[in-house]
Amino acid sequence: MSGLPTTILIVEDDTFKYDRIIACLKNLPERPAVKVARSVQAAVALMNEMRFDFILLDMSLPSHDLKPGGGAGSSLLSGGLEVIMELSFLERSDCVIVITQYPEVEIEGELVSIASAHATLRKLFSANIEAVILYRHESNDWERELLNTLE
Amino acid sequence: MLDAMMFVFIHRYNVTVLEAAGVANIVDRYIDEYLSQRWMHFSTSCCPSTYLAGSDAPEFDDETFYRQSIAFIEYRTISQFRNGIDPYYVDNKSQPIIRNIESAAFATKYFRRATSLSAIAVEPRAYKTRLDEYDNTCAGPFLRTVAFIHLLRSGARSTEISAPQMLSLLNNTMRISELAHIEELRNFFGSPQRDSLVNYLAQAVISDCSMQNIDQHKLRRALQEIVIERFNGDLIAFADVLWASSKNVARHLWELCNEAFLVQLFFLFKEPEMVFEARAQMLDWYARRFGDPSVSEWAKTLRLDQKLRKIRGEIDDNRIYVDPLRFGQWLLANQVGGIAKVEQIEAKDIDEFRAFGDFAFNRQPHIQMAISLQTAFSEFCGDKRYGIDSYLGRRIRHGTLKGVMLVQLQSLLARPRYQSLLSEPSVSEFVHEWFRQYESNIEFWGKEIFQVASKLKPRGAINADITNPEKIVVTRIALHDLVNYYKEGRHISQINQATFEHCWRLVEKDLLAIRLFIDSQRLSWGTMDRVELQYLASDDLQTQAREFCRELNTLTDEKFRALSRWFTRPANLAPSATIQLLLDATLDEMKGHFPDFEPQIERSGLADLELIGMYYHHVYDFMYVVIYNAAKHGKRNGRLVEEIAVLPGVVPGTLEIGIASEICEQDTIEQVRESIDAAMSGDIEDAMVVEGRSGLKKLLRMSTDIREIKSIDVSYIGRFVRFKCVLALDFLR
Repeated sequence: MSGLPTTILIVEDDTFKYDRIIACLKNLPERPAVKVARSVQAAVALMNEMRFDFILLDMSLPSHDLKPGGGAGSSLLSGGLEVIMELSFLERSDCVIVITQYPEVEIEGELVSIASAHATLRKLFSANIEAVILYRHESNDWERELLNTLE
Repeated sequence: MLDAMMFVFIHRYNVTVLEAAGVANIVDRYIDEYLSQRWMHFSTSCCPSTYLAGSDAPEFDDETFYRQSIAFIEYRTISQFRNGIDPYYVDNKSQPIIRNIESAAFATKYFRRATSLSAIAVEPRAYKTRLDEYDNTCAGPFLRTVAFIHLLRSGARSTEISAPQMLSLLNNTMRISELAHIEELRNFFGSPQRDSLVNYLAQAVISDCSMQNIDQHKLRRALQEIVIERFNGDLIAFADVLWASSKNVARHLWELCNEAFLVQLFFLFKEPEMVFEARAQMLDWYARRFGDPSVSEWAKTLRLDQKLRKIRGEIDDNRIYVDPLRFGQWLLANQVGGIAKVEQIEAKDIDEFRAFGDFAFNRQPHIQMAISLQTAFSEFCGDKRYGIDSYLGRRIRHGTLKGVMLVQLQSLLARPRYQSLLSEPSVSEFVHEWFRQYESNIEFWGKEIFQVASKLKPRGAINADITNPEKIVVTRIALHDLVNYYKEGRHISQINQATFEHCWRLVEKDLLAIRLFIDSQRLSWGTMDRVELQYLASDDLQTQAREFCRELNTLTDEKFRALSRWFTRPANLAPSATIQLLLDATLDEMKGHFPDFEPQIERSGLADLELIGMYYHHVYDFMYVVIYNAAKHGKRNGRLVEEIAVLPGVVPGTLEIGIASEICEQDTIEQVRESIDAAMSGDIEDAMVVEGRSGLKKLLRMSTDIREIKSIDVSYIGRFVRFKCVLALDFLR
């Protein structure tokens, strides 16, 4: 990826975290077009419609969007992996930045520390994973890391 | 000693392993010639296995023979057969058996007629176990599997055969994903699969073997591709096509399509309720195609529970939660067979139960019951989609723990009224250090404590071991209860309801400990020391220091209390429903059939009575038939009167549910009576299976078949038809 991103997909079901990410993206010199998916199903559908320069991906996601009276989707603690595997399957090069609130990521049944998660994901999947960032409500470190990666 | 002798004789005379190893002469030196002659005589005589009678399922005779052949291993034909075949039939997770020269020669000779995949992909005509050579016309699944592994290791590729041949091959073989190594299978299916059916079959075998996420994803993709492109998105149509030619492959599809799998078929099922319906359809399909009506009941339960959940609304997501619907489905899938020899379990066996043991110990019926409970409780705690671990992951580890516990507290630091206080270096250092400690402890809780205990998380506060000393008393109570349920022949839904309840009681021990732990920790590091802060603050800021401390500690008190409540069992999560909810669910469904059905509902009596397990299924069935007929034949905007009463002085508790509906303006009550009498008369044997009827006969059948239903009758009052169902309810005792 060279130059600033023009299209970004945010896959995030936590509104608070989503708002923080959006606020962070406003610091980019040029505003990208942003799409949001709040479930794995919505993300997979969007990915099959268009390509993105970057996909900002949470790991713990519901299977489907919640709709009043529509029943509950399943909670997929490693739902983000499904998005990564879909990219692998489609042989796509959209850059992925995992932004997780938990210091460990479950991959193939093992808890992998966030420090090792990037290498492990790149080893297991052919998707273009740029970074794995630990999100913290109270800190701005993740914002700096995100902006650096995007720029 | 005898075993050692047998080993030596077999490897010296039956198969020439010792000769090949160059030690035959040493063995010969120590074995009496007469003895070796007698061995040769007996080992080459006719093996008694030849006379074994065939079974009722001849297709499995070859596998049964193979498993039992160790009993005849002293016969040369058997020794040579096992020596040649065994290296093919080793689990891929075990050490391979190194093939000796004679074994390789035997395999070449044995499979001389199985030289290509197409030669073994032809369906068998009859079954016969041959030890001399592979015969495809009569080989059973075991020998076909061995032949397949032989060809696989000889370099065969999937492209050698057509899609129907591949289907036939997989339908008539077994355990391929457990025997072949993943690299072998990837090579076998290595070329791009142009046929979507072969692609699905390839991914199914590879995924079963590797168990890796990426292969499971490819399997889901392959299945969706074929179902969407060739069956217009109809999974059942695909299952039917498989079933028509390859029942074992069709059964594999059914086993694959549990809810966890279906929920990730994002292209087929875009809404969550589509997943439940697909699961229910698969259950109905299995019941129909494989002749197991109990599985259809399972589908019915799933549909009703899903309907009730939609009407109930969203769950209280702030409390620890196990999805009763999904856990109930798991119980049905995993405990349908029940426990054998329950009648042999005595109360003292359970009272003495402390721990699991070795294989022989665990075979005792009461231990089997405990293993069943342990399996259910492990699932209850550990399932990552609907168990306790799912809640912990979603609400605590990944989600809101830090947000709830920290964010509001941190906002205190930005308050203008405390700026002077916090600008004092010593105060600032003290406060920020306190916040660092506080945050670190919260992180530690999320990472280490609010976890299901495991090797990786040994400090996890949820212990899924039912033999844990803290839980053993509750475990014994649960076992007594479940044994009684089985002995009384209770319905599986009651047993599963009881299992769910006991799982909650088992985990309650941990929840209580967590709540106590949270309370104790609040006193330890969740409050700021006011004296200390005031000591550090200058004289003119004493009031601010006191206020800051008071406000902070009030907030942490509130937060810790809220957190403690998270670890309290929700009150309304048992698979149960009020009669009012059942009526609402029924009316909701009727509006789908008859959009202009707008009855004026009148309720009287105990509409909020909570029914559990099978009772609410019975009541729903009753309501469905009655209200369906009211909507179809009655006055659609007329009065619908629901009356619920618990009859006094009757033991056990007796519940009476009456539903009266107004008839159509153009009908007379006599005409309606005649129609209903006609609909309810005659043979009721097929009442539950023949579709397209009013269902009124089903009411008669229910009152005959279902122990808990005492009677169902109909009466006519004015322009109203009134159906009454009387149930004996154990829980009202």
